[in-house]
Amino acid sequence: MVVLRTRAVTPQTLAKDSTPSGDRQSPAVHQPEPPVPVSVSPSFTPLSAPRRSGRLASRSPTAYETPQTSGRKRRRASGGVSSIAENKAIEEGKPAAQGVSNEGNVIADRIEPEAEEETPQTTERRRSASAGVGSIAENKAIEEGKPAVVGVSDGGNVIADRIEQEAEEETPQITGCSRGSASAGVGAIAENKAIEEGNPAAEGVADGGNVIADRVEQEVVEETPSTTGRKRGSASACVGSIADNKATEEGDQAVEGVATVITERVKLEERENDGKCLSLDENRSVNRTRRWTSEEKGKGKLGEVGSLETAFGGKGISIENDVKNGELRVPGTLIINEGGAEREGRRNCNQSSTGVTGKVSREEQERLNEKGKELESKIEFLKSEIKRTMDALSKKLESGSRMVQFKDAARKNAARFAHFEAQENQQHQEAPPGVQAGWQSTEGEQKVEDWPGPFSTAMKIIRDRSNRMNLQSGKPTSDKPNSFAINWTPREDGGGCNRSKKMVPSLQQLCTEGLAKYADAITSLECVPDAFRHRLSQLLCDSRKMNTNFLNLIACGSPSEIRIRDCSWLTEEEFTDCVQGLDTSNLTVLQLDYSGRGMPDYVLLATLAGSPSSLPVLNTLSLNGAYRLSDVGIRALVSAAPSLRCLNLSQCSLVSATSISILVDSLGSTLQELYLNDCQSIDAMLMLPALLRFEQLEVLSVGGIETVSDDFIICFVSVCGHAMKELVLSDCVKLTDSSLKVIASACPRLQSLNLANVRQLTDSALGYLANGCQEIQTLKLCRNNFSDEAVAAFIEASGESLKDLSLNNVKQVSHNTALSVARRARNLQSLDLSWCRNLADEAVGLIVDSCLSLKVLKIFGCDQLTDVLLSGHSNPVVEIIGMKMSPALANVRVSDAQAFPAHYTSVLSSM
Amino acid sequence: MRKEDTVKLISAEGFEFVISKEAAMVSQTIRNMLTSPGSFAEAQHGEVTFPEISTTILEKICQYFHWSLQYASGKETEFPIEPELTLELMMAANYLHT
Repeated sequence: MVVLRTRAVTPQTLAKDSTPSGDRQSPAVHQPEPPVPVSVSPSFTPLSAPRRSGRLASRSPTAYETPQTSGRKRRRASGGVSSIAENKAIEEGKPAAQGVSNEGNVIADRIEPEAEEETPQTTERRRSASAGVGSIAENKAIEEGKPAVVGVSDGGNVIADRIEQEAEEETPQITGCSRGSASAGVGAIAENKAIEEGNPAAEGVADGGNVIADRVEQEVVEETPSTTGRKRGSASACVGSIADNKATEEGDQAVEGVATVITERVKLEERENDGKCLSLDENRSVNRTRRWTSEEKGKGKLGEVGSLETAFGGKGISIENDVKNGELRVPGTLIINEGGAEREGRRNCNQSSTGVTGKVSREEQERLNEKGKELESKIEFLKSEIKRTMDALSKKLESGSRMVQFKDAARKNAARFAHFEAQENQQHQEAPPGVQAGWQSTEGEQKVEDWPGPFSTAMKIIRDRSNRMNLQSGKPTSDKPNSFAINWTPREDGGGCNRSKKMVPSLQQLCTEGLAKYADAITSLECVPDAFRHRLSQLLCDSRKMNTNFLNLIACGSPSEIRIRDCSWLTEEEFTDCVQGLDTSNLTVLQLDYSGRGMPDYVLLATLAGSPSSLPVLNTLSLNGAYRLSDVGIRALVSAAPSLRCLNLSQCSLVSATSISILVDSLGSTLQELYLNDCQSIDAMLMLPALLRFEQLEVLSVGGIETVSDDFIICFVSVCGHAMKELVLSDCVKLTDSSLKVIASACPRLQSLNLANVRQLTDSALGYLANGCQEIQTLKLCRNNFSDEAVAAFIEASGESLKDLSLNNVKQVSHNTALSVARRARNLQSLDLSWCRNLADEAVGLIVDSCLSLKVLKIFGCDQLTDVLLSGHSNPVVEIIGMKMSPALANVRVSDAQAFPAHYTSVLSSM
Repeated sequence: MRKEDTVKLISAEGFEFVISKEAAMVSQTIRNMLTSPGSFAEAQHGEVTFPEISTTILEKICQYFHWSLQYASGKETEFPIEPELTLELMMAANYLHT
């Protein structure tokens, strides 16, 4: 596995870095100061990380007095964090990532409070924060599959946010520093992307390149000569690090020269700025820098970096002239070879010295060759001046006029990283109706209300009630119109004894945890029922202790169910070995999620799907996240597993609409559940004809597929809706009320509906649903723009059958809903009210005390709730998760009910 | 303790563990046996036999009952489980619904 090696991305450290070739495992990031010995050993454990951070912390308070120390601190922080990142790179798996993100968080947290101060010194800390975030991004790169990408974008978000904040300040010092770190952070993101296979890698680099390019663009636009050189230096340093990593991946020694080339270039620029050698402007490094020339506003593209790679493939380095402050502009290409060869003896671009691929005119070339020789002579001198230059960099002040430009650019870039809600809001058609003063009725809503149906009746009642309340209180709109409508008094005695009994860990839990701890010592799992095996397997996967040992234990004999939630550790060889010995004659359930690494098509064809009917009784198959599985593999699978009823292909990015046709050809009459969440290569309309041919489909999950539109839904549901029991349409943002109308009329037996993030829906959608689907047991809403009255009316109308309700981020939920839930949803078992900030203790207390079947209540982000609720409710069973001060993840448990497969037909074995 | 307050748990090998009813009720299975309205023999004699549970495991289970009561009353300590017992203990705990 490729080891990501990151550096503190400053030209300084680049110059000082030891030879990266060969020894990838232990780079030493040298600091100019008494160094933080950041060496990476293969036996790194997270325990050593706190030590490092401790060291960081202990130094930071003292080190930021002088501007000089600022620079050092920055590097140190970057060094420290990047070392953590490096260490993590050695380890595989999640604890590494968590540890690093913890470290990153710790550093970031430490720095954030520091950042709140007014002193200019804070800026430096922020820089290190950015570095910390960069490392978070780096770690994520190790993980495979989507989580990695998500992590990186999260890192990017944070960086972007921080850049914004930084941009908002006035002190001139900030910009340079923050930009440096921001570039570093983003450069790190780009670096990580390089590790991943396939498209994500390219995008990441491109993004990283884009941001850097943008930043450098601005920098270049500015006037002061001094700053340009510096910025370009830092930017190129970042990009240089990108190149570095690429080089290490491909083992191309030549690329290392790039870093030094860049360093050199920076020095050259510094020299220019100091007015010492004007003639060196032509000497520029890598053709990547073309992106940054002020006139040629090329945005960073992967192609550029790619061309870097090819260029370094031994063909020589074609060097383009960079533009320097508009003073001198020599377009064309230039080859610097001798300088490179001499630089540190690391580059062996001997070929480059002869191969000339320049479009430069003769005289230019001669002139430039001369300059090349001059360059060499100055290299040594420059090297010794690195430290001084860097300090000079950090001291240079910037004019205020660039702040504005930087702010704009930061905002522009931040939007790219920001949550897509910003874009969604542009598309959102309808303004959310007001809560207090009744109803802003539109045509659609009028229609729904006019229908003589339970929804309209409920709406009427609720509106009357709230109007009455408003009249009584004498104010047309008040903040809490119904604050006295809810009568709930907390219990005085607090029911403490009831609660603590439930908190005792059960013996089964203790045993399972003990087993997970000593999993390697288990010699046999014979006679252990499947439920235990699954629980154990889940625990082991979650704690990253899952290995081939345990896999063999589960696979021995003739197992009937194998469930592994996380196969990202499984390599191709291990997979082949394990599966070849597997007796699949009794296998009914097979779950190998996130197995992309070990299960490309050819391995699948060689093992599991080797022959037709090799999985004769398999009825449930989950290959969530098998990113190397393509249509070919699906074809083989389908012939191998003829009795498949339940198929989960979520997040398989290579699966396309052709697979659906393949599926329907063989399994059209038996397949009952099909999960295709986030399969990005599937075009909804292309797969529609195949989908329509499924005869028994009960569950269709197309969350996250962007091409799902109203037409698709209407078409599909009109044909197949009568049997549908579950529809997952989360993140299908194109859907509107018309889809819901058709769903409601065509799917009378719908039991579960997931409408998370479908933001264009309005209250009439709820109306349709209430009137149409009477058997809904699970309803997942998230970030929908429904009003309080509408939700309340829905629950009044069809809340009897609700067992699992999620109103996460349905921001307007308030007292009406609480009253309805308490009155009607007596069978509720799980309720998610996170981020519904209008709810106070009384409302939630009423709910909890009335819904006696309630087992789980999530209230993350409900800031009005206090301990009064916790101690005052009298429900002995409920578990309240998400109170402000309790650890967020302490109580998160994946309940069995959520596990795939679903539970609709009795043919499937239950969990 | 009076006899009415105790219950006897008998292991596969015939060992008898006499514990308080309150402790035994930590197990949902035993609780149902002892408190359900039908007149079970267990309730009448105050004895429950577990032919599949070995003595060491049953002993550990009784220890767990007492630890659980202690935990619920506020004193939260660790419950040590020897690794060799864990597998069987887990299956017994599942049976006893504890």
